[in-house]
Order: sequence, then structure tokens, then C-alpha cells
Amino acid sequence: MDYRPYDQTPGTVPTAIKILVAGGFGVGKTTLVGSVSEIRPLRTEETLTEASVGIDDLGGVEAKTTTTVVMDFGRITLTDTLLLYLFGTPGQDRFWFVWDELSTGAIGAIVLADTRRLADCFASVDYFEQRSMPFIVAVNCFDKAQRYRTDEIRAALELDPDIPVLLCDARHRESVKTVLVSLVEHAMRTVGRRRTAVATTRP
Amino acid sequence: MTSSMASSMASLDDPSGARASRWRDPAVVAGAETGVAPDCRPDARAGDNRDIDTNMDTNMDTYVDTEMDTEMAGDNGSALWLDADAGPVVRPYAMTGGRTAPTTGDFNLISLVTATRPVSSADVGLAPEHVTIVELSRRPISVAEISAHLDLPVGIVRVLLGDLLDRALIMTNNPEPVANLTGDGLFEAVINGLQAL
Repeated sequence: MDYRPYDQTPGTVPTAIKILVAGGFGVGKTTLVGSVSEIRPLRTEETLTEASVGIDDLGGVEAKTTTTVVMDFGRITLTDTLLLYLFGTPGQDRFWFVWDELSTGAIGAIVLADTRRLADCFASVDYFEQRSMPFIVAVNCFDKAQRYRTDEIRAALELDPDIPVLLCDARHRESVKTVLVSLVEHAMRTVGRRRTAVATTRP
Repeated sequence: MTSSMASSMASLDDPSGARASRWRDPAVVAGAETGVAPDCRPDARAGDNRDIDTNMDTNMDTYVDTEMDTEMAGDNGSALWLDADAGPVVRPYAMTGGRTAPTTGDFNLISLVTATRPVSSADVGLAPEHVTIVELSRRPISVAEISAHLDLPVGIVRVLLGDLLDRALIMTNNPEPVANLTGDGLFEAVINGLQAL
């Protein structure tokens, strides 16, 4: 087989970063990833075994001892040296252990919300607040959903005033790009503030 | 779990030896080297084990469901695999010899894997999946993408990557904590890159 020369120069390996897409089941996470990814959303899975014993309600499916946590993800090559991965996080709350790994190297998270089932994203909001991970809330505007103003959604979610809330359409690339840019800008401000805070507390 | 894995492993040593050769035979590796497309799907080889292979093929969709696996084995009339103690037909962990953790390396989902050289005939003991990973990683590729391309759970891929790292067939770049990256205009680069899409 004709091999392309294998590149062994460590400096040429790109930097990979992640953005997480969280939210309840069926809120459009995979759709959002697919709208901007240069590859069709791929699927990877982790296997869950003992962790679910006594936690999952497996009534009727007692024989099932293994569960898989499925994550859909996409990739955007930003530059030759910068790769952005978008990971749709598993919807179920009990899979926090996967989230912890997903959070490493993540610059921030998009919490995707559906106004018809706003409570579905409470767990995600709590998680990112507790981990001090920069996040924004993007409300996926489903056709039949009643429209709310962003300040109403902010109030319902009890969000800090500095956390951006915006309306989007997960099916539309431009809309998703706007969401991603808002998140990165928010993450940049957050990190900047933390730097300042650290600098001022040092003697 | 452990006992069912042990059973699966015992079954791998079936008298035909076809299953065992899939994992160990250096000729398989050499075959890939000489232009046979390395294939992560077992049905590329060992035709006499077709009933098992069929199960393996759909395995990733069904292995979580014990009942379904048993049913499929029944459809194919493979008495060998109907032993109730055997559990699901082939656990993915059979592919790793029952190992659930890599011997070395820390493979984040977005750790980038790069092959350092092609697999050669001197690399004895590699599975077809190992060869496929080396092929995939001729250009830097994330652990998550490898998992998706091989249609294998990340846990399995980590074990296989550990084997390759042991042999220095690959190198990995783990993601930096974001706090370490932000100094180099990272956010600006991401924003510019996104706007240019």
C-alpha cells in the first residue's frame, strides 16, 4: 500500500477544543450539531454497567444489565491548527460521570431549551453553574411552541444577569453560528473576569 | 460481568481455531500491509464462522440487550452460542481479551491520535481493529471519531489505543485545560473561524 509519509513532528498536531451541547431529550441537540458540523454527526458510546444498579428504573427489563450512553458529535476545522468538536451530551441526568469527562477541554456549553418543556434543562443549568463552566441558554424555537421573550425565560430559569439567553433555530446554520459565537464571546468575558479577579487578590 | 466475559473468552478457543486466528495471526496483519483493506468487521475473514460474524456485525446495536442476542443466535441455529451461561453472543470486551482499561495512556474523547508509522509484518499480535486505527490516524484524529468509525464503544477503543501506544505505533495529544489555552488568542481564533464558516 502506498503510504503517505507519517508526520512525526509534534508541533503540527492541531489543538482540539470542545463545546458541549446540553439539554433535555429531543430538544434538538443532534440537529444543532448537524447544522454546523463538516461531518455528519457521528455517534460514540460509553458502556454503563454497575453504575446504574439501584438507580435506573428497569421495571420490565430486568435482564438488561448494560446500558450505553450515546453521544452525538460533530467537527469543525477552524484553522489548520484548531479543531472544534461539538458534543451533544447524553440527556439523562444520571450520566454525570460522562459529563465530567466531556467537560475536560471544553471552553463552554450551550444549554438548548424547549419552552414547552423548560424544566428539562434545569439539570444542565445546575451542572454548569456548579462547575463554573461558561454557558449560554439557546431556546430552540419549535414551530408550534408559544414564543416567550428571553427575559421571561431568564426569569423562569433564575439565571445570572450576565448569562446570555437567545432564541435560535437549531436547523439553520447561520442561527447556530450566532449561538456558537455568543458562547465563545461569553466564555472569553468569563475567563477575562476570572483573570482580573485572580490578579487583584494576589499581593 | 466477569463470569460472562470469561465464558465468552473460553468460547473463543473453539476447536476450529478460526476465531483465535482472527486476533493472533500475523498473516492477517501482513495481509493488511500488502493492500488488503483492513476491515474492522469480522465478516471480512473467517467465513466458516459466518453465523457468529453476523451477530458481531449487528453487535453494536444489540449487545446491550441480552434477550435480543439470544434470539439472534437461535435464528442462526448456532447451538455453540446458546449456552445460557455464555450471556450475549460476543461482548465487545472479547475484542480486548477481556481488558476494560488501557495498559497505558489517558485517552480523552478529543485526544488527537496520530500514527507514527505503518503497521509492518514485524508487528505480531495486532487485531484488525488495531491496524484500522493506525490507518485512520495517518492524519490526527480524535478518539471519538475513531470510536465512531470502528463502531466500537470508547472503552474498547481506549484499550486498543493503549496497545498501540505501548508499541509506539501512535502518539497522542491530550486536550489542555482551557485555562492554559486562553493566553494565545484562542477565543479570538475560534470566533474568527466560526464567522468565516
